[in-house]
Amino acid sequence: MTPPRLLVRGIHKRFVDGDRTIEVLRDVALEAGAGEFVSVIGPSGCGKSTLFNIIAGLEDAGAGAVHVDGDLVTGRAAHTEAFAYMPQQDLLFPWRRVMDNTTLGLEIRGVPRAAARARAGALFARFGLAGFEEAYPYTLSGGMRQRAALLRTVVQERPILLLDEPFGALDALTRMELQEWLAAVSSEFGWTVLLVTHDVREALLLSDRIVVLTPRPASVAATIAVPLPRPRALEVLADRAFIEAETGVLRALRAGSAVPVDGSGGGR
Amino acid sequence: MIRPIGRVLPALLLAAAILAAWEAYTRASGIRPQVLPPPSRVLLEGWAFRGLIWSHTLPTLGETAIGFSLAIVLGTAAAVAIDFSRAVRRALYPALVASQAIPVVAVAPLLVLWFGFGIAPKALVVALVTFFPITVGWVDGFASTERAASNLLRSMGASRWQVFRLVRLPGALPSFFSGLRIAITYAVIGAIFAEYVGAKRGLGIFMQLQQNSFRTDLVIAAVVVTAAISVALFLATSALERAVIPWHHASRETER
Ligand SMILES: Nc1ncnc2c1ncn2[C@@H]1O[C@H](COP(=O)(O)OP(=O)(O)OP(=O)(O)O)[C@@H](O)[C@H]1O
Ligand SMILES: [Mg+2]
Repeated sequence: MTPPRLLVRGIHKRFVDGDRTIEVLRDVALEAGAGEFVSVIGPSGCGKSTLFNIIAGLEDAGAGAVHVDGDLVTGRAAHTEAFAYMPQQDLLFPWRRVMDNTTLGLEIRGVPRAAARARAGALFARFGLAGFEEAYPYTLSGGMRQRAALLRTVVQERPILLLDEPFGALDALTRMELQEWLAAVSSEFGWTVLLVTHDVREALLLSDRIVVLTPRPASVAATIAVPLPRPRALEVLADRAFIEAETGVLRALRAGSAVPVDGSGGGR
Repeated sequence: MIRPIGRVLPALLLAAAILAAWEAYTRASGIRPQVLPPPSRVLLEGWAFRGLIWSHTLPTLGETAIGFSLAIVLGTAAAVAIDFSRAVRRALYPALVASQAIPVVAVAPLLVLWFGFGIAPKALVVALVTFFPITVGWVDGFASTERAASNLLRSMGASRWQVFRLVRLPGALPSFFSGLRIAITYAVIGAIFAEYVGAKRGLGIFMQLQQNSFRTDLVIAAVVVTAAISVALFLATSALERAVIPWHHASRETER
């Protein structure tokens, strides 16, 4: 049997802040097969970004392991090479034109400029950014900024994409548009994706499986499969299987929070 | 960028009003020009002595340029060292702050004593008074880098030097230019102050000589030249800033 593309086991994490210790993650485990789209959903402040930083190799875990294609990567120099990471803020750099923002990862890896621009340039149309290659980021709309940040992420051609609330800051209409668009492109390119979200419908629309986390300290409350073919369009919202999965996610979220959801201590 | 005349008009009107009031007062009160000359006299006498004033302006400009360049080089080097090493930060920061507590009045004569009446002590005084805002501008700018931005670059496999070059350095430029604009306004004054202590040529020594011979009009003319140089250098720094970091102003203006 081939090992899953991504296997995360027994992640623990606590932050020591002066004389205060905050336990953030308690024995979190998840996995994703190649080409699978897995969402991580949980209340604000439960530790989703922290989990992603650990998976991406940016932060040390107290305990636990990350395997990629069966190989342990935790603590290895090559750890970050398995992941392309899109942080919660778009972090487009104002001094770089859109094209130069999107080629940043390739530039760091030493890909020649012309080749990097060609690779990123080939994606601009599909990302709805054609004609904005030489624009500065401040001229882009919120939705375009997120698509540019996503382009910068995928053009690195790493095996696994980590997307931390890519649509969190957008208005409802733009968000819906981008969700449908992401559903289409992610199946089209066969990406393996781990997505953090607050939005139950977003998770249901995009994912093969949904990992529901409890409030801090986060552990896995439930993993719910969405047994519908991808890519899905908004019409799927009325589907029976969709509604069943939605009920399952909402139940797991509620069961996880013994205290009221907004008492989880997170703030944004 | 086109600057509409309406934006400079209030400043010009205010200046004209002050000059008119000054002129009227000196004429009405009959005050001696050795005490307070009218602006018209300052202008005419300053123009009559323009060759002499210019020959004293050039050394001052030279000292300012050398001292300021020195401050930029040293300030940048210090800031980069501070950013890369916590030990350097701990060692250097108190010394930097202390350097600003040094009364220039006391140090300038010592510098003349050590380095003579040439250009060196003046350039050093200029560097001393401009070094601090430049260094602090860089250091604050580097420190303003978001942790998430460094994380993003590290996720791309960037080395520490790449994070510095690609994010910390360009991100610090607006803060550096703020420091630079503050520094340039001290620079000319620093040079003139050092000349007061001991020099053969320069606007500072020119002012002192004219004061000793009660040519208050020429002292004021030299002050006007000094102010004009400061304003010109300030505007040049702002223009340089717009040329180097056009994205900064463009993105701020759309936010208004
Ligand atoms: N470097 C740190 N030091 C101390 N505490 C931290 C640190 N980073 C995160 N935390 C804490 O860990 C908890 C989880 O933070 P995290 O950003 O992972 O939450 P999140 O689930 O991503 O929240 P959100 O949904 O609002 O983005 C928070 O309570 C936060 O205050
Ligand atoms: Mg988060």
